[in-house]
Amino acid sequence: MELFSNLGLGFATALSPFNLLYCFMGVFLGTAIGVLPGLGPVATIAMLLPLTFGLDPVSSLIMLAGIYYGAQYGGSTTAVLINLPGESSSVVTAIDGYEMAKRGRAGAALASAALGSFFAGTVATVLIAVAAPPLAMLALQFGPAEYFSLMVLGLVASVALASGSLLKAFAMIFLGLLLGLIGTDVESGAQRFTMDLPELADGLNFVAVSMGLFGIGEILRNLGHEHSRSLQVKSVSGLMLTRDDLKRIVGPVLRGTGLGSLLGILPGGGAMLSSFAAYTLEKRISPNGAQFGKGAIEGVAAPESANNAGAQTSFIPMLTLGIPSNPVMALMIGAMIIQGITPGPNVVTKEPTLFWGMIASMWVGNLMLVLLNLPLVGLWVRMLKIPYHLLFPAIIAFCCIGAFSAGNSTFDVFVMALFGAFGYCLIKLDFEPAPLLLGFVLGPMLEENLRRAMLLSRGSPSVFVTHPLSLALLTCAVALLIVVVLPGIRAKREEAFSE
Amino acid sequence: MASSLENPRDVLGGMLMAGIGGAFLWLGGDLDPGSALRMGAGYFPRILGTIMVALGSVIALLAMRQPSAGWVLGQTPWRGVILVLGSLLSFGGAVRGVGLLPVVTVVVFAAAWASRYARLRSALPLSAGLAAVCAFLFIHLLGLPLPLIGPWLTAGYWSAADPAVSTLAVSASAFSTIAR
Repeated sequence: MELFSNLGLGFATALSPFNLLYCFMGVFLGTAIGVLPGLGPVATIAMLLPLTFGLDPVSSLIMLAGIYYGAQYGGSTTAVLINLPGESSSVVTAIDGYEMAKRGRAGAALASAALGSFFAGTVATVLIAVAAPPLAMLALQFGPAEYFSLMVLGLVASVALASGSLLKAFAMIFLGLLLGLIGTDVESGAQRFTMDLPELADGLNFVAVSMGLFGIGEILRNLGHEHSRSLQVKSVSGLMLTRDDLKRIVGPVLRGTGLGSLLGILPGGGAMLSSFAAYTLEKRISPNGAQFGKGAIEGVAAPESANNAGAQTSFIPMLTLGIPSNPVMALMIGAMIIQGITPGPNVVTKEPTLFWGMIASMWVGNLMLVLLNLPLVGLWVRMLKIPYHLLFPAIIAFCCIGAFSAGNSTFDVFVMALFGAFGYCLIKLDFEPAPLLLGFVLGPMLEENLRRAMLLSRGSPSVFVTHPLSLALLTCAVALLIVVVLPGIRAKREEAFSE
Repeated sequence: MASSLENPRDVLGGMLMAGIGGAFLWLGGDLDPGSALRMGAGYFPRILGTIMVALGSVIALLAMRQPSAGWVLGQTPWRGVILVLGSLLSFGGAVRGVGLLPVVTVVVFAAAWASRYARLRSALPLSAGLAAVCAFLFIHLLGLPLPLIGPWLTAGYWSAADPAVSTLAVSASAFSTIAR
């Protein structure tokens, strides 16, 4: 069995003391930022990215991955205890989780969230190990036309699955694509949109842009509606689930895991969408549906399993195709490029220790997370008492130093400030910045593949529809677009997001 | 399709997007478009810029057809925005000259006042503590190429190194001599 020898290699890598330490640091940090509202995985990973330059690629990716799925665990703690989503993916967890906490069942809510997440994490890890290598094999046969169509599908899907206006989400994507073009054109060497600034010759710094949009922009937004937090529960007890609780959460956890795993793979999917979908589904089909919103344990278990499953399976397109499905994955790709690894289907065969080590580390990390989040919940409760007005100046300091160290240049600090201000404008105008970041990363790849496809086809755009795989991908994109635009389904979609 | 668009907000947003698209078209005007077979540096930017202008205009026009919902942008915490952005700009402008330790102290202290809940007894230890942590972590452990205390703060820098300042100093001393 090749799978087992591969997983053996993975666990040997992930269980080396050094990687265990980095995995622990990642999940610990991830839980911390998950617990703290107003600090998300995108800003954190962007801040830490420059610090990983000197690290071994495996260790640095293991740590960065840990931050993302660790944040899914931490987010539920905040949602349950103070009715605030620590992470955008635990918005729905707050609904029933907080109600449970008010009735003194915070321990049960946290336990079901953590155990559901652990189960989902295990399933998702196995799924990545099984599904990723064949997908990468398939992707190896992709030509430039297929890659172009795949990226178009990815971008369309990320728009279709986002909340809010479609047109505005498309505008964000095109803005991201345009911003990605700034710098030296790889083919002709021409300086594009650099305005004679030598600092822009290599393009806008990705870390600075994402920290500005997601770190600084978010701080400015939070300052707009500041309020002192009230902590509902001082200490959490009763972490044990009753037999009845267990019976009630088995179904939701299974369905949440399945739904989350599926939605995570889709481009544009990931943790947040998965949790929303799982909550909506559970509310419809659960025999205790009437209790939803009044402290139903199913309403905690399902979305928490789903967001963890979604967070992990969103690594599949990143690892096998080199295409990010959400901003966190875009940062992971950035981390790979910094380490000199070309993202794409070759990662599986050329970097087996990295690939399998990362997969195995996810399971190890999930195990650590259950231990971190259940017995040590008191630590996080204490951390929740740190007020935001002490937290955000620290974020600002770390963002400044992070932006500087990304390229040892103060110019990037100014870029971050500019995008912080711009990101805040976007939030005010209700434009979602996530598609912008996807476009920004995909822009250069999209152009390169378009050029190569057109060169190979002697300038005929029909290449995108005559290649069967490319045609299939484009058809999916068009179908998705039609489905989302149709009035009936649009109404349902808006209903799902408003819930 | 326009159902989720709002009148004043998205008219503004659409115009902003169209404007950005236009700016890219204008700035990239002299880039060689090439042909579909051999795309030049200007081909893809021109497509994207055109789509951007179109998208922005459609958003603005559709939003204009909605009944005005009034000004819905909400309150802007101006003090916070200015303090936070000002902190970032001062960090970028001064970190090499002043050094990491003083710049983090000042930037964190200034940024803290962006919050309504800022108090002197919390902001002071926060800025001093963070500066110490950052200095230790980033300079001592990670070896970031930044001075702990920058050249601007060392004695003798302003009198000798900077001609403008030395001229100023000389003229000031000359003035004081004359005045006496």
